[in-house]
Amino acid sequence: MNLTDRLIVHDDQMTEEQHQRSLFRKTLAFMTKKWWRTLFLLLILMGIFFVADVVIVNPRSATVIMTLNYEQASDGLTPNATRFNMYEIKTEPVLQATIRYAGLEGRLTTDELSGCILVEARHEGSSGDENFISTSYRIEFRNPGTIPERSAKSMLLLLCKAYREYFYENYAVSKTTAGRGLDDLDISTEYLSRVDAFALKIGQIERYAEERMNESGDYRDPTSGLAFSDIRIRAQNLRIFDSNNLQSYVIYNALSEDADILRDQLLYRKRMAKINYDKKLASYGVNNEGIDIYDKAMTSIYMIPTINDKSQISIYMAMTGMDKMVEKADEDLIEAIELFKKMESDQTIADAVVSRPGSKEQQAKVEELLERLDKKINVLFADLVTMDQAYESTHVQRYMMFNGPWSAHTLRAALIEAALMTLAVAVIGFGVIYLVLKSKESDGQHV
Amino acid sequence: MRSRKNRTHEKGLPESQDGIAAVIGEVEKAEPPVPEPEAEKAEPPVPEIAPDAAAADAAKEIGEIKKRKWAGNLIRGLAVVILCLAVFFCAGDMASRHYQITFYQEICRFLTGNIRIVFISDLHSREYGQGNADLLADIAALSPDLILLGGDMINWNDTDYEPVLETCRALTKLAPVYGVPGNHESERIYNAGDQDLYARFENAGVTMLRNESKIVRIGDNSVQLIGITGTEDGFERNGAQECMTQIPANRNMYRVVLAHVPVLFKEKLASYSYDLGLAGHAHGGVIQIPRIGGLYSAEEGFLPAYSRGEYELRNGASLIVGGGLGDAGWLPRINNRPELLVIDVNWC
Repeated sequence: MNLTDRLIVHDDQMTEEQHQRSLFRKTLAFMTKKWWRTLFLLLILMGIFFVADVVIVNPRSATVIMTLNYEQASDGLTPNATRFNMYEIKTEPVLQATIRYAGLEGRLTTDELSGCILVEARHEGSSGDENFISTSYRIEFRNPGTIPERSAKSMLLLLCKAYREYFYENYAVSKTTAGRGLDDLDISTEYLSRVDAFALKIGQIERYAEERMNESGDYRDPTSGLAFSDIRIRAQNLRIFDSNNLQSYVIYNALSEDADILRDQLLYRKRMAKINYDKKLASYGVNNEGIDIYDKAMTSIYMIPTINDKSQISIYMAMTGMDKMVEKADEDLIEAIELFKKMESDQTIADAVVSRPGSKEQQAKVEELLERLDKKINVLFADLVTMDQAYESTHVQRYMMFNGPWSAHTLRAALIEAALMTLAVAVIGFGVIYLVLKSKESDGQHV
Repeated sequence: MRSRKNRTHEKGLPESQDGIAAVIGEVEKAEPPVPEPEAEKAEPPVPEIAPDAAAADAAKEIGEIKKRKWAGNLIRGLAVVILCLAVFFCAGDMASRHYQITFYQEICRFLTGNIRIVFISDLHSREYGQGNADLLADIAALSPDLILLGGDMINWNDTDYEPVLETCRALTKLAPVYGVPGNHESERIYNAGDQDLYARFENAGVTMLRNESKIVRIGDNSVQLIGITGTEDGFERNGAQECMTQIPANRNMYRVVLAHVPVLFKEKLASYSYDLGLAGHAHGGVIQIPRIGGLYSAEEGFLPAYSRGEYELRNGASLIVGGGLGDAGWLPRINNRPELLVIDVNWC
């Protein structure tokens, strides 16, 4: 008598518990002995079906790798130097935008969506340093099953789009000249004031282009082929030639819309300059007095040896208080001279606009020149804005790179899931056979 | 009982002598009788040599039979598995009769804002919900800026395609609708004599682009739509080439080329300058083979290059081929659900 035969021996003397246990064994033996090939084949088929379902038909999750590509990222900061928080991807604005983009408003809540998103930092390439800050993150989306017509990949794409826009709006858009527009400086109708205002606008453009040059000197607009250095050179030309020439023309010809108003303005400006001139002279005098009374014992040169972290020794010359006073006195004197020149100029123009005002032809010409300069500045600014938009757009794309998405199921995970489902089916099948045998036995049939 | 026998034979040794004896008997029966010399008859018998050799031969032969049997079983098993998989996928697709919505993300730095395009192709007069209510509700929820029709909205032999026109009328309330004709529309016009087809679509609010281009203003941005008709054979004759040649090289707007047949992009359109190509027609290659793509398309035959998904063309443009929302023939889609395309053109 083999093991199977022994298993299915029925004993009338058994208790109910023993009887149940025996029936269980019988069922197991029955299946293993007679149906094992069929069961084996069925289980394999089920396994294949479930793997196919998990991997191909219904990939319920997708993953993407997000990498931050800007300098501050390795310090855990955003481009605006605020603290970077990856979990912002699960905040209300991002989730709401994702739902809106997916056309699921009213069908999916932000809480439900948030529950589908997994975020974790990747530590690839780290040196094992405990303070290592990851610049690469893995984002996984697990489809809840309530939105069958949108794949996990699609939802993840929309989530990335929403987050990229949120990030751009909050951390990457520069709130600088190109975004704001040029300052409105046309407060006066006087020629001289208008020329000054244009000069300030040109200066704004020049400084902005220079700032961008320092950031990315080799950047060129793919459409126009222009670099920020080209914009800066054009601005410099406008300032040096157009603006300065126009200013000289206005001053030399003593042109004004209203001579009295201009004269008052110039004299007011001269008075302001005079106050500053006096202050600078006073400061110059105080510093000179300080130098005179400085203790001779304190004027020696101090050489301070230092050593850096590479064990390199260097010697610095320490500045004394008197050195500072000398520098300040020099600065004050230079500024005072400049102010004096300005006062002289303002006085000369103020006298000229009254004594020998410019002709109507000259006024017409200066109007034309001003208009031309205004147009040139606007064209230059428009070019700067176009270029800056392209630059920022390219930069933002570089700030945040997404690799993927692809179905998140690895074969191993799919196999595990399929094996579990197969096991579940097998247990259910076993239970059914057990119940059938039990019912047969209760009917008095020999099992 | 057969299985028990096989197991015994597989081992090749006389665990159960009955089986071996039977086989030996058969082998002896099959061979012609060899007369034995008289002298040898007198000698004591040497039974071990001949029966052992015969047993070895028999075991070898049994092994070969067994191998063949296993190979047969394996082929049958594989056939069953493939059949089951096919039935499974087919059943899966049949069970999910509803289309899926596929999203694509494109980037264009000319734009100052995002543009959302919904692309419908190969509807073949199919209805999702009464009067395509489900489809219209989904499109409304997606808030498109532009709706593009990729052709084959009807079947050439339809007796009435008013429901499709009604769907188009509803679509025009959601966003501007532009389209190109597919081969079924062309067949209906030229074979079934329905000369009013274009007019009926135009009256329903659809701007049909037949080898022509239109500029659409969306917010602060402009999109240039170029509709190309026909196949690669008639490209030079039907005005499509002329249309593509005359398009100005203005690169400050997003440029979309709309054509029904995807292979046209590979053969004829890849040398022109545009940002995005949209096509349908291939119905996803009928059967989508995982990691390979579509199985068959009319123009490209088996394993077509363009069946469903996003491709990069020689000119650097993206080509998106829709799997279509309906079917014209009897072939069942396998692992190839109908799809509605949503293309987001992002400015960053």
